[in-house]
Amino acid sequence: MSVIDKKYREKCWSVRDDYWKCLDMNKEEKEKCLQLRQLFESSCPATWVVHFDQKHEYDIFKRQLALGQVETDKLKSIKQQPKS
Amino acid sequence: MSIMSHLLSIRTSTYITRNIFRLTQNRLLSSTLPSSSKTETPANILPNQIPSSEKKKTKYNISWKTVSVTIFGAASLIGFIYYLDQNKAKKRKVLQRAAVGKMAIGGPFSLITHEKKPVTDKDFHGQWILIYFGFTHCPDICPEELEKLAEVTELLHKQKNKQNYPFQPLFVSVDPERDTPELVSKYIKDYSPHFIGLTGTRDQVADMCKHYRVYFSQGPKVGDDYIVDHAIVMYLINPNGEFVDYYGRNKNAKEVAYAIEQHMNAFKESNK
Repeated sequence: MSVIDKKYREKCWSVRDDYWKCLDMNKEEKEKCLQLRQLFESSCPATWVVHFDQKHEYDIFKRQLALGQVETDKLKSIKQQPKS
Repeated sequence: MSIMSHLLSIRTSTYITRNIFRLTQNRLLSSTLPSSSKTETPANILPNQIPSSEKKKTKYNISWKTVSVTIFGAASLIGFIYYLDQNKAKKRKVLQRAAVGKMAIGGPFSLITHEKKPVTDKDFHGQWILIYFGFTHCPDICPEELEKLAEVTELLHKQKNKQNYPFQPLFVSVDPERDTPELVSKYIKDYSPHFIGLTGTRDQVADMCKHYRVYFSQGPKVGDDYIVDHAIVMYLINPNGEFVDYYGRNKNAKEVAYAIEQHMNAFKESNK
């Protein structure tokens, strides 16, 4: 079974979603979801694991940005500008 | 709103000129009539204040009949101008849609199908084609977009009998090293039986992507595996082989199908 098969892809995605749900419930503490992580790494090809990890980080960043919890360099420079 | 003010000015001017005409007629007539009573009618009296004995002799009068005729005339004039305006707006829309296709995207391509049949862009003239660029080892985006393409195909095929030219969805691989025709065939059958998958040599694919302004680049290798970074877009080409429109991830299947139907109708109109 490879990525060409629909069933393989769907299995990989559902395992990934379970892993992400676990991380969500445990405030991104990876130690608490090690078993699901192992299952995830065995169900999906390595490149996909890397890709999905990057996607997950990006999704968290987007969420934080929306909630105003992220201070990027640009925001810092705007705050430091003298009020006109 | 300019139409309405235009129409109102026509109507009021019609009304005014008619009544001025009648007024002058009445004045002329009343001045030629013999004065039957001792009190003479003043020169600037309004027509409907003429004594009843002389009313019958005046030819023009503002009665309910004349008012209704005026209103009917004005209404039919308004209706006609509205019809012309709608026609003009429709023609303008058709031209606008046709103009999108003048962007410098698209051109010739030469690839092979998932059934190992060599094809060029000319083989698809006479059909509406919607092209999605992707690759079979794609983690999540291509499957999503191909599901969308399948749904668009379903929606458009429902209206098949209204369409002059058939709709053909195409999948073009941006990973020619790995995506052989057999692999592409196996991949696309999971989405729709109507898909045609295209692949070829690296040069053929690169050439098509250059003409269609599609970015693609092999990512870092993990073992033998890699992910191809590429533009996520569907291109709509009309039966003349001209690029018409593009759809990104932000549009869902229904929106894409609706937009394509609009283009099909505009194409029909401009090619009558």
